[in-house]
Amino acid sequence: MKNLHRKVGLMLISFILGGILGLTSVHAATSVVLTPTEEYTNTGNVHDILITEDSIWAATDGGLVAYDKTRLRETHRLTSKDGLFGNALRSLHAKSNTAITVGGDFGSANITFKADGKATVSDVERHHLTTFDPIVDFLTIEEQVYALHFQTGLVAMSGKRMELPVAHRLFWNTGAVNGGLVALGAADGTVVVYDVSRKMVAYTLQFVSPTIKLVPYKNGFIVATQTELYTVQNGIAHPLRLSAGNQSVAILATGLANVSADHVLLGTADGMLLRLKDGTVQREAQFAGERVTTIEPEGNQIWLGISQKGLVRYSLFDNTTVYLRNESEICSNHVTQSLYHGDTLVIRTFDSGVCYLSKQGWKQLQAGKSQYVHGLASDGKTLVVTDSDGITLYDEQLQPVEESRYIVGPMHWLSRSAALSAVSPKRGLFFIASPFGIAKLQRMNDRFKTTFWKKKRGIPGDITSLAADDSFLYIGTESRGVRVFSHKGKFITDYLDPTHLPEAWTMTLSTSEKGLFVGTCQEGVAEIDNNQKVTFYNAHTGLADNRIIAVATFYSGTFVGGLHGLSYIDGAGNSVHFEHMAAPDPRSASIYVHNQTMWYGTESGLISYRVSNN
Amino acid sequence: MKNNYYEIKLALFLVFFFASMYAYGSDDVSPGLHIDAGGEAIPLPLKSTTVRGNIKGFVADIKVVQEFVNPYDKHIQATYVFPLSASAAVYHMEMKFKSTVVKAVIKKKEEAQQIYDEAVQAGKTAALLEQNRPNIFTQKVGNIPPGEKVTVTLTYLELLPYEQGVSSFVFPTVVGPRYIPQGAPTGLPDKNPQGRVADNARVPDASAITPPSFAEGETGAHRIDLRITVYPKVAIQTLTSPSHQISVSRQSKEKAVVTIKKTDTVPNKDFVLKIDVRDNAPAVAVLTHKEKEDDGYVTLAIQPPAHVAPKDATPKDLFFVVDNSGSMSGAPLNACKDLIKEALTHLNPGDRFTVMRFSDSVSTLSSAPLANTKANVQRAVQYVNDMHGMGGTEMLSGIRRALEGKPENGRVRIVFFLTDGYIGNDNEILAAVKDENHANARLFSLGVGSSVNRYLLSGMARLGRGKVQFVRYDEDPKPVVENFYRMVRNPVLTDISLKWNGVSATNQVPQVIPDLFDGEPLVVHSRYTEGGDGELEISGFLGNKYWRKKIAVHLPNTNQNPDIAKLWARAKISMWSDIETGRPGAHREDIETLAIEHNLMSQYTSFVAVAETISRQEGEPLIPVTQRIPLPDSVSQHALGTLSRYEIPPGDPFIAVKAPSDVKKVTAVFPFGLVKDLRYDASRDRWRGRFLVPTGIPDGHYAIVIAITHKDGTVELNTEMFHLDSEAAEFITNFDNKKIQSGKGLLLKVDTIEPAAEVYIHCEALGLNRVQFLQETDDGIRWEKWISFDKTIAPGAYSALVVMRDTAGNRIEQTVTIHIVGAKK
Repeated sequence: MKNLHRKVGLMLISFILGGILGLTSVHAATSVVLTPTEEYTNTGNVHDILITEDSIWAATDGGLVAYDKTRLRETHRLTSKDGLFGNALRSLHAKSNTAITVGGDFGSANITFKADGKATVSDVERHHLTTFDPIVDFLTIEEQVYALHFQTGLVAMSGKRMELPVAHRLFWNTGAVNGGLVALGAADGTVVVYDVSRKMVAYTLQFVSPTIKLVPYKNGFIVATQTELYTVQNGIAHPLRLSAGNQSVAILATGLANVSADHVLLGTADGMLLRLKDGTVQREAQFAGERVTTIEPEGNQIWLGISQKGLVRYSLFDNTTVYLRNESEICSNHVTQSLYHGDTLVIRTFDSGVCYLSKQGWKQLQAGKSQYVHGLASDGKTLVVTDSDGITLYDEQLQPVEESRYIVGPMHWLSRSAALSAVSPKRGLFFIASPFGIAKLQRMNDRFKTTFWKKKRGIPGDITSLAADDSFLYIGTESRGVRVFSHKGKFITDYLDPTHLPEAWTMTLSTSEKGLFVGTCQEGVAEIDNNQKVTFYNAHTGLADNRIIAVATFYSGTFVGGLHGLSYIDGAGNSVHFEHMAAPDPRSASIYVHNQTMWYGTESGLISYRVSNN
Repeated sequence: MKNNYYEIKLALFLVFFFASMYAYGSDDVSPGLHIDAGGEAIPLPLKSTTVRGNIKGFVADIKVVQEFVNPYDKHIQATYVFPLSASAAVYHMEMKFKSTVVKAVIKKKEEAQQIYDEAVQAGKTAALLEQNRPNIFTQKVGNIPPGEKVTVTLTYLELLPYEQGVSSFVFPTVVGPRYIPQGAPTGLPDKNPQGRVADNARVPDASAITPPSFAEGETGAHRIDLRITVYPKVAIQTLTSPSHQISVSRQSKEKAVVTIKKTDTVPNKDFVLKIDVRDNAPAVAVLTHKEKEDDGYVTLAIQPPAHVAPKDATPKDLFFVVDNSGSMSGAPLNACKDLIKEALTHLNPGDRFTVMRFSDSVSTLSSAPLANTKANVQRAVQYVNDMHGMGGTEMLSGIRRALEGKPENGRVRIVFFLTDGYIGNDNEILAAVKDENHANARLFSLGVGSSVNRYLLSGMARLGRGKVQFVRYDEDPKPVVENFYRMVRNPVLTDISLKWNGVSATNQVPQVIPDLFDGEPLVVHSRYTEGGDGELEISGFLGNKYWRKKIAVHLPNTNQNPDIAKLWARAKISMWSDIETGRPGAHREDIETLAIEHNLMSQYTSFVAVAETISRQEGEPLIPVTQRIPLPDSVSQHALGTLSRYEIPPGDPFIAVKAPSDVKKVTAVFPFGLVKDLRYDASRDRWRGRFLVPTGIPDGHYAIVIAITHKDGTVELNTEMFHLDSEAAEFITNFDNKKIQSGKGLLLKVDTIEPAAEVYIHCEALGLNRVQFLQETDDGIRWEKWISFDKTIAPGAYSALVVMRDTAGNRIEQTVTIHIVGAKK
């Protein structure tokens, strides 16, 4: 809150912390109240598994999920809305029979669960956002639990850091304990084995590729690197390979688990489950080609995390596989845009295409050309999807429209060449940015008249964003600020730094009746009102961060999403940062305000808030 | 909306920003133009390379003509990284621009660079030739006007290697993709901002020797035209090229003209010409030259008597060391496998052996040499069969492992090192061979491939007291193996000493004569003070017997063959360079002085040519264009990745990897803990993925590990570097005059710590609205702007904002005060 007080120190910030976390509301300034309503996350990427008496718990990119071990049904889904520090989770530790500790990208917390099925979040620790330092593992060393941080290394849960005498900074990926030896594996292929009792490094190994996983094995360790699997004993590494006819091939292990001291289960990058026993590796099962991210054996069943597929149970009894994840989850946690197409909420994701919310849950929008989608625009009748490979249009029922129905004349390249942002300022009109200029689509009866404005007309070559109002098209760029055109393609003006913008690199634009809000890459927000009055907002004036990802106008102000969270600038120019708003992730990815609902996309899920304007 | 621009960057990175300039200025470019990741639509400046020359005796005198044409609508600076023979003595360069021919002058490297920079800054067309390695050169041609042609001609001499009655002329045409080992950042701007790999402390010029390459299968429009007249002065038996389709026109028994056929002109492999004169070769060749007042020069090539080394009873430990890096995958590595398997069948009963492989790390068949038993050989064959090319070329580890340990009484260690030599840390390797040969091993190197690093391989063999051989991947391994064993059995002539009688010879190169192997001539360069008749007495051990021979020599006092002076100087520079291995700079002044005296290129001297006319006016942009080069024939690019941007703020670029569509998996492992399986994109023929760099990761250089899992389970590994840059570095603004009269001007200079993409000044009161600075140097470090102030500006102190944006897009500003005083009355 320290920045807030510089400019808006007299503003009343009130947090109504209801008894029920899901009903928490956040007031900003004196005008805006956010109340979380819905949250959608994807649990397809499991980073760690923990088995308790009745449940199997999975730390995922979309929060903590638990399944009943016998009925194989989801019993808990704990997210930031329930009080977690964020949804990007990486590691689990059994604290007691009724409590577990969870660590993730932005902190740690304890989860207490009771026989009645209730689970509560407590002891939440949030990391400073200035350092990316996820907790990648928990290790128990001489009865003390340590969190292994990506950058900081081993930190006892009591808060004391274990100093390791390593020569240079390493990014830690994984750790394992075997008796008095602690092995830590780093992203550059270094494995440091530390002798705890002697307080010295026993040996250090340097592998050629990143260390992925470690488990204890005999009196040493098994080290999974990106390209080979090794057994390590007394500082000597031997590759462990798989026979394939006359040759041997590398084992690309991505998940490891001990069954006993000399018996290890291995999951591979291409979905194989292997068993290392008596010094030999045998094939156990093959899953659908996706990466095995984590393994946990339990009697005659094995729990696995399979990339994109979520938690899986494999039965050694009858060799059956059960996928536990609900398939109607949102298609990705990283939501880069939301909008309503008619009554349907449609989202685009960072690298998993477009999906929409149906009565049966989330569904993938079919027929897109690429999963790398850069823009969505809807006029209520037509939905335009722009992606790496072109544009695709959909009708009101979200069915793809046959290209010949809208591509007129020689503009066929429009459907096949990379397309960037899209915007629809009014019904029947779309502007689409491409690396070569701007396409204007204007509905004439059931078809679109297409006009293209080339660069020689002054269309910039490094377009990052588009916005439009009834009269103008605003083109945000990477190096040339904002360029304004009329709807007919006439150049109007440039907004550039230092006069109109704090920097030329524009990330996002939003228009309102008052004027234009411009979010920049590293210098905050500029407001240019209809009288050309310019106001800059940044962390010094109360924004969460200067690195702006999204802006969305609401009443006379605007919501601002940055890499450190959400803020609001009200009509009087006062800014406030919503610090405890149960956001899935501090990193904003998109904001969309529709009537009194704000859809807030992050890198770890989508959440909606009821927005009230007091 | 944040992520959208990266798709533009994907295309623009690949064609570099100048291509967008081109597109902007040209209405020909259809907005539908699909510039794919392979970048087919890129216009490049190097049109052709024409090679003309004569080989007289064993000396080649070669002229190389590079024709650059500017296909853009702005002035460009063309940069072309190209190879020449490591023993070439480059002694002449000239530049032709329009109708003017400018002869280049040889200068100390820094001085030549300064002359070139100043000329380019002044708008003059200029050319600069620099040596990056003895076999890698960079040609820069600045201020080529739009549509204009500039021709640069280089001339060099080379004493051709001769062995077993066959001399070889090699003209390399492409610099292979060097592996750059990781090292700490240099803290300086990259020498070539368009290089594929950033400079680091271990390879401080990494960017200069890793020019961007075409995708596999693409070659660009540059072609080579080669015609050589061969005149060995004895009857030629055969003229063959294992590398190219050639036409041979016989002029006489002793003279022929060789040309490359038009069907084989892609510059992606070494041109190799073998001149077989074995039945007619002279036993002694003496070439001399003397100016009146100066000492003379003599080069002798002496063929030792034919001698079959007795069967050597000394048991040997043979270490076969094989490069398994990514560039060796496919045909080159298969050739190595065949060679080793063949070599294993030639072992003597008392010999022992082991096999080692290295890429990113080293592994061995056995920790100690194995006895020559059938079972052990079978085991070795299996080990060799399992080899696959992947990953980097951490050759240093391989060398050290092969040379570690102590000499064993009664046994000789022979290291047979098989590689393409595609590394950038040549000096580290050579220093290790020279200084870390604790086992007192003899090192025989074998260059395998179509355009191998001959400088490195020859140096390794020379410093390792062995011999080098080169073999194309498609050549029969048997002769190579037989030759290896013939040499390994023993050098023919050892402990060689030379004694001049009757003439005063000085400055002999080499000072210590290396052992001679079967079929290899003794080549000596020397100087002499006075001409006359004398003799050269050569002695040594031929096998186990003392051997001595006297050769009558006539050293004239007249000018006969001025080329010999240059060959002596080149040999002397090479000798000093060998001494400098591991001790850089020890002979810098010696080399500079000698190179300038003889007009020679060296690591410390460069050629520079400047046209006097101004071709680019102040304010006109200059676009840097680095010539792309094809991948060498048979070299795979599978593991080379491409980032949509190299300099990135925390954000989300794409990574694109060229790999076959049917591989099992392509995975990118990011240094910040993200592991991402890439997806195949058929329209671009690339495996692609989009990623975010988390905020809170320290700025710096990082490597993305790319692992390609092939259908057979083998994994190919490579790395792609990027520079995380979230903050612009400070800069310095300099004034040439702190108080300026209204109506006058002011030269403002900005020096930045890191390369800038843009520098401007803004001050509304002075009428300065984002006035852009111009680049003073092409590295983006120095910028300047002449600013004129209107007479109407009132005297006073004005605050102006100077803004710098670095290449990652980070912005930093500085306020400067400009004092305006009243105009003089």
